[in-house]
Amino acid sequence: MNQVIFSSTIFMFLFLPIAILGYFLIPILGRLFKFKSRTLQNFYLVLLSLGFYTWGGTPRYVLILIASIILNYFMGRWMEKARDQKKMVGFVVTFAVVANLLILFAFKYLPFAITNINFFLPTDIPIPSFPFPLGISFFTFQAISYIMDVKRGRIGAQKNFIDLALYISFFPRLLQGPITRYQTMVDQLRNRKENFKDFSEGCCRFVLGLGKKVLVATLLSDLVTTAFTDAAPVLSVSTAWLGMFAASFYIYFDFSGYSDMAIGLGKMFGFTIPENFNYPYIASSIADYWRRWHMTMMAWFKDYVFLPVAIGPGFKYYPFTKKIMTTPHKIVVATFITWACTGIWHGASWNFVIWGMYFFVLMEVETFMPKFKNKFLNISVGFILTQLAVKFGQVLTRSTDISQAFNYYLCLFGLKGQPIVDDKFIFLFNQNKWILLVAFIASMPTIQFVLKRIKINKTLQDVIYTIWIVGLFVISMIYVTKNGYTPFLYGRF
Amino acid sequence: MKTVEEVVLEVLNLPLDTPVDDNFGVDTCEQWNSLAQIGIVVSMGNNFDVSFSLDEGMNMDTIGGIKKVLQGKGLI
Repeated sequence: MNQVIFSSTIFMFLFLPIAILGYFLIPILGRLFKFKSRTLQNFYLVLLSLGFYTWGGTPRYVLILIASIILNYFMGRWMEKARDQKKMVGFVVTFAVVANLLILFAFKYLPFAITNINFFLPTDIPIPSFPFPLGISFFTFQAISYIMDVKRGRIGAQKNFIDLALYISFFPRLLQGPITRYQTMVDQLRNRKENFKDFSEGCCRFVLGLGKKVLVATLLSDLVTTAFTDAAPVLSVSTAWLGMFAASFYIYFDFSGYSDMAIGLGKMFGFTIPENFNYPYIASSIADYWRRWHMTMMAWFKDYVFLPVAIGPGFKYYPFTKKIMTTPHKIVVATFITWACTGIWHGASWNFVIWGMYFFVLMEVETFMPKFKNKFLNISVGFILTQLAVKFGQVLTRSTDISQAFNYYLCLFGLKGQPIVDDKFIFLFNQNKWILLVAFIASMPTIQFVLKRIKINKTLQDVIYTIWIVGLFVISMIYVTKNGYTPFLYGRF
Repeated sequence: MKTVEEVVLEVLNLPLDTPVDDNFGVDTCEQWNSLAQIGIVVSMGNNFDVSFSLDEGMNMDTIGGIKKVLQGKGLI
């Protein structure tokens, strides 16, 4: 399982070369034998994607992916045919969205739901145990985006089954996004243009992501594992803080590294996949942070949860009254529902639910927070508070359950009677200080900052960049071949 | 009654002489975030004395999109 992870040698030296060679051979054959190559290229990418999914996860789960494609294709076609019948469109949309969510519920949330039913009620329902289907949260969201965009009437339903299959299953973003909305991808399914410039930029972006994953995230993983598995009375205050910051860098470099690789792979095949990160660790407010972190997921929730709740008729009145709800109150309700959904989307456990509610509270508190008159002071204080709040929140997502997270918080504030500094901290700090420094610098727009101030001519810039990318690739490959692959954290979402 | 452009610029807190075209919207203007979108839908409703369905509200994410919705209702 998980052999076809982007940073594995089998992906880079077997799967990807086969994918690229075949993909660019098709148009050559098309010119020779006079056939339209785009449909065949798309079909080839779909086959590769299904192969990637089968090989990378539990093979039988590819049937879920295929079922999702078939379901959404026919729902879209049905909606298109019933376009003039408002009630029928409403029925089809509801049916399609519920069916997609049911698939997600059955495979991701059922064990969690039964565990809680058994806990709160006098029941003893057996808890099903099966491996988690990789990427199910991501491809389900892609599918719902398709249904909703067709329903809103901006674009028609996809007539070509292969094209829809490619939209839902395209392998670079199948397992961990970025989540692309149908309306932004539909044109690219047919009319994308591959060229050497994009291909080479795609390769560089892939290598950059590989470096983030292999040279930063993976190297921090030992420190993070040590801190979070030893979250017991033996964890000193300083070790807990060190572990919290390391975990924060780890998740950023792991996930943004994957996104870089996905965006780069997309570019190699002529696709423009939207950006997912924009230096979240320089954010100076919670709202700013969420405009920079996992941007495609937030855009999805904004378009399909937040705005429909805030604008739609669902929450027209206050509960149990006929009094019309004011817009600010609707916004609070929409924010609450959005964060509840965001939390539970990340994982079927209570710590994710609490994590979602934590950000709801922070967003609301931030709205009422007084601002300093001095802009510099405003940004500085905002930066420190935001980054601390984000890192406290990440303890919840990193912990296996609430009790572990609670235990970790106690350690952070020295509430378990443990020492401030111990030998373990000194050892871990000395072992990881350089990688932490690299992580800190690389999580900021340092290169852009330097390039703005130092004038280097374009040719020299290109030479330095090429050496940098080649060097990064070689060093990453040394680490990959030496240490093997490590799975991506967001794969479990 | 204000024009579509005036309502949008007022909600976004931008000067009324800001150059805008039909493509001006959520993807081209930093201030046009999700809260601003709600404000725009509510203000358009008040200005033109009309209510919008969810799909109409969702399609009002550019000046062109707003005009199309209002044209569909015969208001401009």
